[in-house]
Amino acid sequence: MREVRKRVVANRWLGLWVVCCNCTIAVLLIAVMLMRSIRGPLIAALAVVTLAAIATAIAAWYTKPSAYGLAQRLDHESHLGDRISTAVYFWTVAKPDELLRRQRADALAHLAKVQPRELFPLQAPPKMWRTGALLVALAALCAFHSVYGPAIPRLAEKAARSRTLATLFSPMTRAIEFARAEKKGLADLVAGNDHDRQASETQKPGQLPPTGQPTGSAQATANAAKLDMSQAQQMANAGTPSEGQAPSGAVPNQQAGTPANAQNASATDQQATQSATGQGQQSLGQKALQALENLMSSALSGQQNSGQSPSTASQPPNAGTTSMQAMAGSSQIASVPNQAAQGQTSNSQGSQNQTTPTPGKHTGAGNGTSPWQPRDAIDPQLAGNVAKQHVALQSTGYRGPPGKERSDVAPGTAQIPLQDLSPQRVTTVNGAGQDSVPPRYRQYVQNYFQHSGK
Amino acid sequence: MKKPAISTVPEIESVAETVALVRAEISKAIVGQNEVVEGVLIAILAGGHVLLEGVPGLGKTMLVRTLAQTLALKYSRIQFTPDLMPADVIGTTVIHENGDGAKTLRFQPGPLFSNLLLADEINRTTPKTQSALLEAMQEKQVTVGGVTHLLDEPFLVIATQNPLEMEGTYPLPEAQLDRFLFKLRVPFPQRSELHDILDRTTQKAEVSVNAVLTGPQIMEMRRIVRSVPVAPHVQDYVVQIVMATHPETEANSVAAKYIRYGSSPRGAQTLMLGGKVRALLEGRYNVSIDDIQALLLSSLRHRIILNFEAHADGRTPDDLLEEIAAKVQKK
Repeated sequence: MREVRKRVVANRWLGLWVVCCNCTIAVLLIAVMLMRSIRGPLIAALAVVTLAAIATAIAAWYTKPSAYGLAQRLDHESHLGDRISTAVYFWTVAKPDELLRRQRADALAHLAKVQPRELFPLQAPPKMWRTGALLVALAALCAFHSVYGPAIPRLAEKAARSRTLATLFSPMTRAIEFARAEKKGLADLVAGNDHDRQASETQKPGQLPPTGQPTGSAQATANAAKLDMSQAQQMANAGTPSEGQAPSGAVPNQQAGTPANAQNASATDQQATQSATGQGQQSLGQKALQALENLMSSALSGQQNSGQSPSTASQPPNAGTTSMQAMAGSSQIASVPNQAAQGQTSNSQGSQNQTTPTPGKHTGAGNGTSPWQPRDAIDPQLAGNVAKQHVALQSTGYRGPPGKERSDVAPGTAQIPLQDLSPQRVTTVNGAGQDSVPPRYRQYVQNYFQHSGK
Repeated sequence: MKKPAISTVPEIESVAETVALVRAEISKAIVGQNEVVEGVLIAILAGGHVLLEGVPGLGKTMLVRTLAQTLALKYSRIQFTPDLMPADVIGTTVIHENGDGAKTLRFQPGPLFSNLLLADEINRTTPKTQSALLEAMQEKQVTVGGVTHLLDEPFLVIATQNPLEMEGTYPLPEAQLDRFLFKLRVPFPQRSELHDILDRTTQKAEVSVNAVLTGPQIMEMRRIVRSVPVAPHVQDYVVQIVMATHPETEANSVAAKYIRYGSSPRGAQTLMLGGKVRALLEGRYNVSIDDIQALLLSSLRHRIILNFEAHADGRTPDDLLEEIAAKVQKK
């Protein structure tokens, strides 16, 4: 049994040590390929291999199988019918009966015939060939190193001088240089925009008119520009609420009245706001992104101007109008003829600067006191956003204020209720003015007080 | 009173010799069928019952009759038929008239009261009559009219059944099957064996079998058998085998796919006791895994119930048990 144990432990130690040697030689191979001197790595590898031999010997000895386990292996290898293991297990019985004594004698008799050196030979691990292959590779690499020096730096040097590689990589290099030049051009463009903005700021000191006192078409244009500015901010900030960030001081600067100018002005005002609040420390990439957004918004506004001229936008949407444009037109125009006759909103909201509504064309919720302006001043996408907000409110079960109207659109399209979200001075409810309530919560508050009054 | 566990050396050594003598006597009348004979002898020494299954004419009844002659035991045979009643097997109470004219009720023992009972064609009788054997096979006693009658030891039931002509038969219930230690399949004899059979049975020479083993000797051998030591890893192997026959033990296994109910603990007891007997008959004093593997099919094939998928795929209990044993061996 001792002989069997020695051989089992020796085989286990050999297996563990070979694994350690393989790992060490692999690391040594890398070191020889990279380093200029191989003396240090070789000495270190020898030390590691020696230490690994000791450590694996200790590990193999402490994880050696028990006597019962050894007996089972011996039974299995020598086909002894579990005689040895049974005898080992019952060896500690103090007073064995006749059968146990006979079993022990039988086991010892069979054990004497067993040749442990034949059953458990000292054999190399099954993956020993890996060690040989690694040693061969190490010898070849050492020979190469002694003649040419370290392999990897030499290969890198050769690769750098190789014409084939240069030909191979030249289109890629050209593409990289082109990308760099494009980036530099964008950075210059951003710098030019910043310069223009600073010049315009010095020309227009920011005297802001008080909010809530708009007059005439200037106020309407300002509101439209404000909405466009918030839309531009939504595009730039990806969902940041527009009302909280749009400074009111930027509104008077955009009095030209055309949507394209309003959008350009809003984008410029956003940059001005960021620089004024100390957040203008943008990186080159951010500036380039901002410049691209400006260009895109300019192009978009140009398309809208060409597609929605005042003459065409004043026409009611017909059955042929589709998708977003028809929806936006219906929400702004409210082309239901009898809604104006009902007069649900115009009397209560007053009229200041509205144009005379043409029956069947310019009637609807937007006419009257609301700052909603002619369709050419309002971005159709924004109108669509407004309608979507109201649809979302309806989905929560809220049916809307009683004075609101619905607009009929062409058959097959959706009916989109209108909601005026612009700041309005409405009659006080229970002593509280609605100016202090944010517009988005105004209808809720009003509805709350109406229900609480009941 | 607990019997002493010490066995004298001559008794231990005599087990294998005596069984060899029995084999020699049986071989005078039975040609071949070595595995069946060995299984029957192991069951006798382990104290269990045997179910022999085979087509007619293979010598099942002949084997049991020869065994009874060899063992010098009280032998009785019951031919099970559909109209057989439990009282016909167990016995009944009859009116007995004394010499003075007084009439009393007296229990008339049935053919069950013997040492070696041959239950021929056991699957041809009704389950009610089949169940009459339950108490006798497990507890070695019979209760009639509120009175329990103990059976003589050793008591051994060797039943036969025919796998063909299943019309009008009553397959044994699971509880009845579980009481059989082994279910042995009687194979068709080989060519040379068939020649021997023809020579022995078609000539004038009569075969005489001597009794070489008595009932008390069998009981003493049973006591010795239980003293055979078993190493823990062998016992663990038995447990693993029995557990592996249960479908709920391991998912994605053969048992989970084809077995509806696995072996009962009696299966493990059978493997262990049979392994001890086989070890002694092989000249060893300890149970080996080889003994367990040798007795695996005969011990467990009637203790597992296959599901519909197994029947549809044509799988047999022997196939599944061999597959299970191979997987357990790999562990």
